[in-house]
Amino acid sequence: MLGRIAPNSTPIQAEMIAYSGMVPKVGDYVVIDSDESQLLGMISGVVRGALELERGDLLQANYYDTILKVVGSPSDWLKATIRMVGVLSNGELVGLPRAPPPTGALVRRAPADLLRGIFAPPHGREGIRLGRLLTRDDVVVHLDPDELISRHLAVLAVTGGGKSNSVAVILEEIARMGGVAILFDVHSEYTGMSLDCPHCQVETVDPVLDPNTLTLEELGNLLRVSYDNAPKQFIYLKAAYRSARELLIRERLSEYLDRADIDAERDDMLAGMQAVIQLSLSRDREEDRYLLNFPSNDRGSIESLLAKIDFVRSKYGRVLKPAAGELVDHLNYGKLVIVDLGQLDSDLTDVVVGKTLYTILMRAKLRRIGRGYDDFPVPVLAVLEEAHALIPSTERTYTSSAAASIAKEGRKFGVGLCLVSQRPKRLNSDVLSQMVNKIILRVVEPDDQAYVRRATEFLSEEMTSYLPSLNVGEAVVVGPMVRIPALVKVRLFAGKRGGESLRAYDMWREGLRRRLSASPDEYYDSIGG
Amino acid sequence: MKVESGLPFETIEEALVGARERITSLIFPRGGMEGEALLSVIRREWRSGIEDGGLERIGAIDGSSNSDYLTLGQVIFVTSASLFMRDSEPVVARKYQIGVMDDFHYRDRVASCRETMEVKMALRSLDLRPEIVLMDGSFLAMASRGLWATPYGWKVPHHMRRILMAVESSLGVGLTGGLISITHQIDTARRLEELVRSLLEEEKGTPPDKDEIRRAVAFVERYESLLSLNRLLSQGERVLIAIAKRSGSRSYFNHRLPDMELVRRYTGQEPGYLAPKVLELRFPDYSGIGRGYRITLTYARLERGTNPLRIEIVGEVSDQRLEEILGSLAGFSVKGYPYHLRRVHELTKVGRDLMMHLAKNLMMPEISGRERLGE
Ligand SMILES: Nc1ncnc2c1ncn2[C@@H]1O[C@H](COP(=O)(O)OP(=O)(O)OP(=O)(O)O)[C@@H](O)[C@H]1O
Ligand SMILES: [Mg+2]
Repeated sequence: MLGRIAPNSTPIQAEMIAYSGMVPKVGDYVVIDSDESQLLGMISGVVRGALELERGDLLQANYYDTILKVVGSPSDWLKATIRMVGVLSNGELVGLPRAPPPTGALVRRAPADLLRGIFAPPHGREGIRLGRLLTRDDVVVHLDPDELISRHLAVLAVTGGGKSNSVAVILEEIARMGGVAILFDVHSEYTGMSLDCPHCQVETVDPVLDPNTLTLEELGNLLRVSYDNAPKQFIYLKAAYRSARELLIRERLSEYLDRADIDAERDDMLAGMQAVIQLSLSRDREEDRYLLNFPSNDRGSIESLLAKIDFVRSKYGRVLKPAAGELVDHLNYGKLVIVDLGQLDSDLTDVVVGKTLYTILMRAKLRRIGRGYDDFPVPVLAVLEEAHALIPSTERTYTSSAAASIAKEGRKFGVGLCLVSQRPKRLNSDVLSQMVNKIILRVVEPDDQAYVRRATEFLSEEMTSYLPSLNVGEAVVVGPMVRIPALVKVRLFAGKRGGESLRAYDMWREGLRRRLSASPDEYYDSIGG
Repeated sequence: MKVESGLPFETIEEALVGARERITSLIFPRGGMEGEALLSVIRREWRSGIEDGGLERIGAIDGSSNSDYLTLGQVIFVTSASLFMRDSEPVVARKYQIGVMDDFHYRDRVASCRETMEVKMALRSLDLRPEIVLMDGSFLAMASRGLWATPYGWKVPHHMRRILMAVESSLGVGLTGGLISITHQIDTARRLEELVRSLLEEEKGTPPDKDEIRRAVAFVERYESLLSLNRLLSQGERVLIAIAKRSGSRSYFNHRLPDMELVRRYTGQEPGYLAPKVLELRFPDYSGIGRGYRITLTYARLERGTNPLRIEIVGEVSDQRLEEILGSLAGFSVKGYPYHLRRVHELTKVGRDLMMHLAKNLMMPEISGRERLGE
């Protein structure tokens, strides 16, 4: 027995006065004897005091000494705030309470068996084994994969809080079940990741973009040419795009490439556009319906468009590969695809991620309505690291449009989204609020806390105030993927992952040892004589 | 300001104009010793510094009371007395008395009921063999609050003596026993009223009126308190100590300003105390208690920068004993006040919230509404 309910309880929250000597822990679960049923609650805050010492003017500990000398041990009192998380009927969770618990009702610690049942995998299936309850290491917490995919997930924490580890744990479990996932690895944190299960497969792929599959909008994004910021250039871009596309279909592209003397793959549409524009600008051009017609005062615009295309081609040459296929072609059951974006700049990253997300959604849709892509593997989870950079609150990026579409429609077609971020405040709030499931690890910055709190239904002000004090890997887990909110100690990913924290001391010692054991000559050679 | 009727209609400012100066001179009278002369008198008596004392078994007694006036002309009252004593373990005790009385001088009578309980609790505490027992207030004030304490003033009718004797023998109990006020206890109170009525009738030959009975009963109530105090003082020599935070007494310096105020103003910040003075405590004539007691009086500042306390010790004590007592009090003081007293005050307090709780939740919901005066 922990205590009894104090007056002024509500169906949402109640205060408990503890029995003497009882010290409940924040995050632990309690069962309250209510009128007909029992209520399940979570301790969201604890306050403690001693009557004898409660005076504002005792501003030196010496006074405490004197008082303790007189009274012996002080009259320890303890008050806990309890958030209601459900009604229990015959040991089963049935919805949320509608009436407050009666004042004086007995509060007991929830039995471990009850909690094990609540956090067990969905009946007759497997669950995602995330970790254990922080306050009960004998209760394992499973996530429901159906709810995770259909209601999406946000993983939020300060850097080093344990986000990537949580993601690795979840992805491993998904692959183990035969699930499908793609991870956009912005900082090459997961390269070299391996999963510890016989049928699991991890494939790290370099990002490639087939210029021939780019839409006009995607091209515009890459070139930073849109109808809004450069209408003329956009109009000529559109014309060149049409011409190059038609030439490609009529297999006449290489003819134009030769004429413009451009060194490129024979079917590179972007190179083809460059050829078309270049030829259009030449002084001795012939009449040709594939070339651009323009009044002389638009020449400047077209020249800068040409320069941009040239620039993008040379800069992104490694990534832009005709007929390279799509990243999503790598998806398969029981497999994790890691897209290593570490080398790309943000513009290209935006296009690669946005395009891949749109492609996934489109294929899943077409498959669903029976218009092809029958063997496109679904449901699929797409994970975005550094989501605040890709889906910022300040501007609309290509990726944010794609993410918004998945957030809205993904559920119907089996496409789930997982956003990972250390700056939640900079993350687009519309998109974040649709990530109904959340794993919130340590969050320190007050603005971030406030933001997370606004975007999270269960999180009380009091619980938010505990976020800075969470240890690495300790998380508040909310959303339909768990039946009740939980404070979880996420388990450490068992397999190998790339981005674990550096161990500075060990690496320095090792480096120094090597330097000292090398012969002086070798050493001087290595530093250039 | 005159209005048509010829009658005044004053504002408070108009009333104050004429009176202000006289009021100020009454609040801050001049005269008596001033300045350097006064200072040197006080400094002569002041002893700086308080050494640690070695007393451990210290008891503290306090009481409290509260009442609710009912529209039916009666008063519900609650009085309490508590003990806190620090030995190897803390010892606590508390007793409540709840009753109803008519509204005749009820505030004074409730206070006297509380005082009786405090004194009786202190008597019982002596059984625990404390080294000292602290009480809140002043023994001198308790005994000599004569003017207000008898419903007759100083001139007590002669026959009251006879009534007092008769009461004690016919109630069949010693008035100084137990932990509650016997005369306020509901059953004895009723018997007491009957008894007083018949004694008065016997005395005068005519049935007494209601007011006469009430006066006599109030007198007996006060008598119980004094009788108990007498017994306590006779047993508590050099152990019993009364401590007051506030006091208007002038018996130490005989100055127009109270002793407490002089000590507060003119003795600096450091701990210290006034050379003790021995005073005589006498019970009022009418009480029939002939015996007097010596009381050692001092004022002390127990902690740097705090307000002084008025301290009375029953009996005459040596300087050494006084120093031991003051040193021990200082050692257990928080903000210059012995913590034992503070603690027992918290234990015993009968606040408004307790009265509300009693009326609303525990006792008589029916009196919580209509019959209660919103205070
Ligand atoms: N659940 C856990 N149990 C024990 N240690 C953990 C746990 N989670 C993370 N760690 C430790 O903390 C380190 C950092 O974790 P992780 O890389 O997951 O943080 P992060 O939030 O992704 O950081 P960043 O924002 O820099 O990407 C890991 O190297 C690991 O050693
Ligand atoms: Mg990380």
